[in-house]
Amino acid sequence: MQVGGQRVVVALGMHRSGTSPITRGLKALGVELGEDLMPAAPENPTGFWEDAALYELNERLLAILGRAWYSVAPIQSEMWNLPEIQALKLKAVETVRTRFGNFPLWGFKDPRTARLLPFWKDLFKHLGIAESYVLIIRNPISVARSLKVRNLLAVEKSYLLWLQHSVEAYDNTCGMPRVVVDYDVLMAHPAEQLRRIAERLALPLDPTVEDAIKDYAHRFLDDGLRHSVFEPTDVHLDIHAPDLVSNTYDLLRQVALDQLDADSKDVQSALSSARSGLVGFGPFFLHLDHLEADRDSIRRELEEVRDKSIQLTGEVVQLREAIVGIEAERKFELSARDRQNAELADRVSRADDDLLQIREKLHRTLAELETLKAQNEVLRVATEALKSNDESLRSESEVLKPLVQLQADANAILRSELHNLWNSWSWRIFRPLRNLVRKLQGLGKETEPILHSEPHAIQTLITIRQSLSWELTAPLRLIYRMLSRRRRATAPSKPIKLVMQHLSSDIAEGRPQPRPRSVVSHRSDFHEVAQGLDSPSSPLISVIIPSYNHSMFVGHAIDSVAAQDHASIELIVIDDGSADNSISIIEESLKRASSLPSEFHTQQNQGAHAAINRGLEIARGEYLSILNSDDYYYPRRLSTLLSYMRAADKQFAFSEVDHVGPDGLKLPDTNHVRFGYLSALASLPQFPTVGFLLLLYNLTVTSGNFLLRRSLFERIGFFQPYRFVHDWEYVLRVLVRPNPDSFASL
Amino acid sequence: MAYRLHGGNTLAKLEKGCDLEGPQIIAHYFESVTREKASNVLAPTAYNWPRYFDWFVRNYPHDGANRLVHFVPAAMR
Repeated sequence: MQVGGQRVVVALGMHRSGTSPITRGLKALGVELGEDLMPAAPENPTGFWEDAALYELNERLLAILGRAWYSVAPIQSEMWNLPEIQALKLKAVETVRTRFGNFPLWGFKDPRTARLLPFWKDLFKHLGIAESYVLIIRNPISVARSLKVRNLLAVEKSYLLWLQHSVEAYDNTCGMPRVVVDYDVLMAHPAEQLRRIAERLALPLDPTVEDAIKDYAHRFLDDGLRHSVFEPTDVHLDIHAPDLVSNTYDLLRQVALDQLDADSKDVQSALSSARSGLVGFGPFFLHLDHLEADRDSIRRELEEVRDKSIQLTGEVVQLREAIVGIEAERKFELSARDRQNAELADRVSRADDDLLQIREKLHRTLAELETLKAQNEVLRVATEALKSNDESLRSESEVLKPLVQLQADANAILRSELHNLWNSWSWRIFRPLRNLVRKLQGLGKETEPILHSEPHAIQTLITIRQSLSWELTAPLRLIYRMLSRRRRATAPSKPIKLVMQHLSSDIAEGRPQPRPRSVVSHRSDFHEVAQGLDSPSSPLISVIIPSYNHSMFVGHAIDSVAAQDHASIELIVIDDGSADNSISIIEESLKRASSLPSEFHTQQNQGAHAAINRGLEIARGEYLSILNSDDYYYPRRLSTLLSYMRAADKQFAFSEVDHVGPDGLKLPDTNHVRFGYLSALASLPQFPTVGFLLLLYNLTVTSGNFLLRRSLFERIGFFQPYRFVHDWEYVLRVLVRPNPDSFASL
Repeated sequence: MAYRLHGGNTLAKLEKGCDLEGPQIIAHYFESVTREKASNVLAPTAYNWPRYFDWFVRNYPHDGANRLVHFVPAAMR
């Protein structure tokens, strides 16, 4: 790197003053211009011969100073001390050292430099680089015309700029090696002018340089570079050119022609006057710059608006074209859609017709399907019913097997009875039979086949027995009574009507047993069983009479208890708030039965179940019996039931019931209540146990039919508050609780 | 024993009472034997009479009215 011995040649001058070709001439004189030069342009086809980096530095300088290359406002001296300027100086040092540090003689040109010399001179001083300047002038008319063409600058402003660049270049190079060169003169005598420059700046002129000068003069320059045809004095004719400009040009041209010394007092005085003039108008120039800046800004905005308007116009045109295209497409599409819609409407119409036909078919099919479903359901139900029936019949068959055997046994008994009848020689027996035959004949029946065909005969007898016709049943009953007397007289046979043992053993063993078809209980039967069972060691029986408004019947009920043949009985009467004279009747009756231990309690009406429960609370007996105040016992009832229960170890028993009227007399079997009861009783053989029949019908009829052991009562508990069926409900609870061998019916 | 029919316990009154309360006690019976096994092994329950009981409740009416199966809890059917 050259340090201290370096020298720089700076070409100064106004824009469009031929600084580029003259700088190229400096290269011919051996001045290094650098490698990175700005490329040629149409307005400068032989090249600018400007270093690109230094150009950028000058642009940044102007920007920091708030100026442009065409600004006419002065640059005040204090502006050079701005911090940004100082910072840029460091960058400039680096650039110069990087680009030209190795060249002892180098140079550069940029018309902006004429106004920025204070910066560069400071830099050269810092770097220790010796400065030399080439001050280039050109006819101001040529410059103004060129700028008007290239930059649309007003000629007045171009003259002003020419004057500023020329005056500042001269002022800032005073005392330095410098030479003033007129472009037109150089174009006319290039070799001579280059040698003049070399001499004035003390540049070496060796043969190589001479060759370069010749090459420059003959090859580089041509007449095409000479744009102006004006003579130097023409500037005085231009009314737009101030005298200051034309006079300064005249003076500097004389210096360039070596007619005057650049440093002479005349020249210095003239240029000093020009500088004073420029400085004096400085504020106006600044204002002019601002106006121009505003103008340029508006112009740019106008240009932008115009560009945008052009762009928008273009877009509008494109949009219009597009709209036209779209409308055409839409018309085409609409037309096509209209055709498609017409086709679709036609197809829909045909499809509707098809759909209608399909729907009608579907309706018909659905109707047929519903019919088939209904038929299928009927068949399914029928099949299920058949299956169920089959299963039921199978179950029933299993159940009926022992019943068939039972019926066969009953048939055998009847057959035996018939045999006895037919073989009897007793007129008393045959007479009723003949009467019966006559009655049957009177009814139009054929007796012979009936009586001689055993199954038919048995069925006929059963029919007759179940008949409500007294005329038919009377003879049979007579026969029955006679046979009974005869059997008792002849042998102590087991009464066929005592079904208690059969039923109890059924339940105890859990299987059906042969049993008589009919179920009948009579006082005489009870008497037979009960005989000899009552004794001083017999357990206490508590009889509870719940009384309510039965003044007509309650005396009879108490009397029936007092008439029992069992010795150990206590009577508990609970009057449930009777409104009639029941209480006095009860008290009189209990007085009559003074030998019977008794208690009498009254309470407000709470219902039969409450009265019974109160009696049960008071009762002390091992056995508990209930008698409703409108019913009554037969004299040996309690002893008979008790004997059976003790013998069979039963805990609960009830007997058949006779239905009586208000007068206490038995009602005929034709009575509706009685008939229903007998029918239920007759159906008993259909069921495996009496429990099944109890689910269908309250065979006990009334709680007054109960005789139960205290131990069972303690397990079952009291009566529930049902008004009508508290007795039935109690029996159903009994049905579940006791052990199998503890239940019996009588 | 003698059961007296008089103005206070006519057939109509008895039937009406049974119609009101009869279904309740039958339903209660079936519930009780469904809830726990009857200690009476001959009691009419599905457990004691697995085939016959089903046929019985489906074919016999309670007190001449609805068939017993109507009173049997669903779990017992």
